[in-house]
Amino acid sequence: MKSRLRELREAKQWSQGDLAARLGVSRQTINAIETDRYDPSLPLAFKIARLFKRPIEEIFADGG
Amino acid sequence: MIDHWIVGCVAALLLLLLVVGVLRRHWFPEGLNLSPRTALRLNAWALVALAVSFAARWALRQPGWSEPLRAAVALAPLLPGSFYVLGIVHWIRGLDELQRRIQIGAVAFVAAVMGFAMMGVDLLQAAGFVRHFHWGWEFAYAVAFLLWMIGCALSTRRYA
Repeated sequence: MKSRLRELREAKQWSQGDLAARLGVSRQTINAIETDRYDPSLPLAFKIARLFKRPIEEIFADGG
Repeated sequence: MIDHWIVGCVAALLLLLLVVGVLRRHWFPEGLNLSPRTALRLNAWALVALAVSFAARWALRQPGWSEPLRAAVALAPLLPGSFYVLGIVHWIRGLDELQRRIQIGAVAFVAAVMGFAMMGVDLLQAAGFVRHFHWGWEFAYAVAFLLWMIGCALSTRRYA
């Protein structure tokens, strides 16, 4: 799955650590999502969508 | 003869554990997210089980125990051992979702390798290549700990 998380995070001028703290996950999780190595769970994806005030499909796209 | 070879393997494993410990920061880009304090807290019940196990073995060498009491003393390490397992499960449940996945991968790696190792030794014993080899739980715990570190490294690198 492709994500626009890095782009959205950088637009807010947050570090990966900042975003991780806001979402209650590890920095490694944010890094893995941004590099498309890990697909977040549905609850985490919703949390990210709420944080950036965007629909999930605007943040995550099917990479297949 | 083969038993000496196995002792050599255990020594090599422990040496590898030391090397893995030293290289940990290089192997795990994010570290294990496990502070020495947490690691000690998690393994404290295993250390208690170890101490109880040694005490029980010493105690059971003394004469005069009734059979039910002997069984109770022999099984005494199971109680701290169960607290250890519960502590590990509680710790894994408290991790964030990626760390949890990494830990479950590492635990699956440990289970698979230990299972195959036990099967291999058993088959070698049945064939007469290995004699008098006893899987003490202390030995199994040390090997499992080493395998867990390797499992963590393998599992972590997938997401690094």
